[in-house]
Amino acid sequence: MEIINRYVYAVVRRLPQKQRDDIANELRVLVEDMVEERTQEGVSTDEIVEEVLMELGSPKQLADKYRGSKRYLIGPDYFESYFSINKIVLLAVSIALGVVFAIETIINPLEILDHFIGLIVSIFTIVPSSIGWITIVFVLIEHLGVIKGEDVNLEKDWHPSNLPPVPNEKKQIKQSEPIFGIIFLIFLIVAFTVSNQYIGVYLVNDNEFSTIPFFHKGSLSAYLPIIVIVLGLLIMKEIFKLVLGRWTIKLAFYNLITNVITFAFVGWIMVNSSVWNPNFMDEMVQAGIVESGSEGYQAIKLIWEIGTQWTIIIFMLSLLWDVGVGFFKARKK
Amino acid sequence: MSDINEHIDKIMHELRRGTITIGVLSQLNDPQYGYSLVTELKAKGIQVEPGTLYPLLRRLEKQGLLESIWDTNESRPRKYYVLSSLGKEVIEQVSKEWSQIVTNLNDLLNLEGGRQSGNN
Repeated sequence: MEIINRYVYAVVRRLPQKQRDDIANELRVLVEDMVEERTQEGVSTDEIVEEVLMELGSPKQLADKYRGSKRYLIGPDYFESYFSINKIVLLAVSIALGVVFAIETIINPLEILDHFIGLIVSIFTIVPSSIGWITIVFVLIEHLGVIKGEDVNLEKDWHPSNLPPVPNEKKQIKQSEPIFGIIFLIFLIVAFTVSNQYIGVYLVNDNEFSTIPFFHKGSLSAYLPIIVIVLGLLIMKEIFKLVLGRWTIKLAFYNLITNVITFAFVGWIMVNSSVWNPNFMDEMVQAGIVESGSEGYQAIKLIWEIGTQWTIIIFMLSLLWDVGVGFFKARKK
Repeated sequence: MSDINEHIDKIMHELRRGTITIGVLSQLNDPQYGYSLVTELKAKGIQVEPGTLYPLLRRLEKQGLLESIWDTNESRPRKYYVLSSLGKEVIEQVSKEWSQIVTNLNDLLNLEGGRQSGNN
């Protein structure tokens, strides 16, 4: 009968593929048996079938019973964090893209339409991919227990001795720290991908803005995919920190891995070539800020060279420091 | 009154849910298909919804307590379930545990069959 088929279909389509045929057959025979048992003169079969189906319950309920437990992509444990991180990230992305749009418009007001189109394109590419990546990170957390760490023992085979200690204040990660980290990293991603030519010295000439970029555009774009991956790993670390709320050995190890990767990557770039704008000083001279060979020129050149070197050195040192801090805080009782 | 009934229903619901598995296992020394089991249990005073029993049979099979076989000789192909050797051992143990629970609870409730019922 048509209605039975519809019912059976409505149940099994909610179940795993390999069980479907079996359960469909079983259900169909069940309904037929139940109908047969109730058949009596004067009552139409249609009515009995309806009655039987009502008794079996809604297809969703029945399917839930077959499944045993509800299944989640991101379960109730992490849903709140998932939601709030999406909000933080989307807010940061919007602000960063807005800032880029504003800078572009100030520097080149005539092409505002192009900038606006660029903004829309960026929104449609960056927003979905951010949400996608956040979702992937959370699915990893939910299903592979990437950071569950000590909490996982609280489900099966738990023992009071497995209870994680109430984190003391020094072990806790203040929420503001990873949130700030995520926002900062998102700004970096947007800065590197959309607008690295705008990171530099700003000049005003007769009410017109121009920039001398710090970075060498060509070599930076060659590294761009890896830069984005590394920044993504760092964002993932911040998400772990936010969800976990305290340092654990596992988190410290993850911190170690991401920082080593970042360290190696930055080091590799430094050894191979420079991402810094090689013509920075020449462009400064051309822009009329300093005169070649003057005292000011020497001073700025020194600042430029020391600045570019030390930015990297300080960055790399802070990566190492961060690894140390992670382990130190994780070990702390 | 309805308040009392509500509480009674709730407790009985929980109690039945816990005992259905035992009831089901107890009746599967010989192969039965789902609906025949529903009728048989009903005849013996144990009410089980087919919508509860069918998924339960599947779960018990997955746990290895039951084995199943499709009988396609009849006009309607039916899936027959029967206790596995593991299931037999389990139900044997469980039925001992059950008698213990009955004795203990009767004892607590001062009903006949409790340990001290003879003395009082």
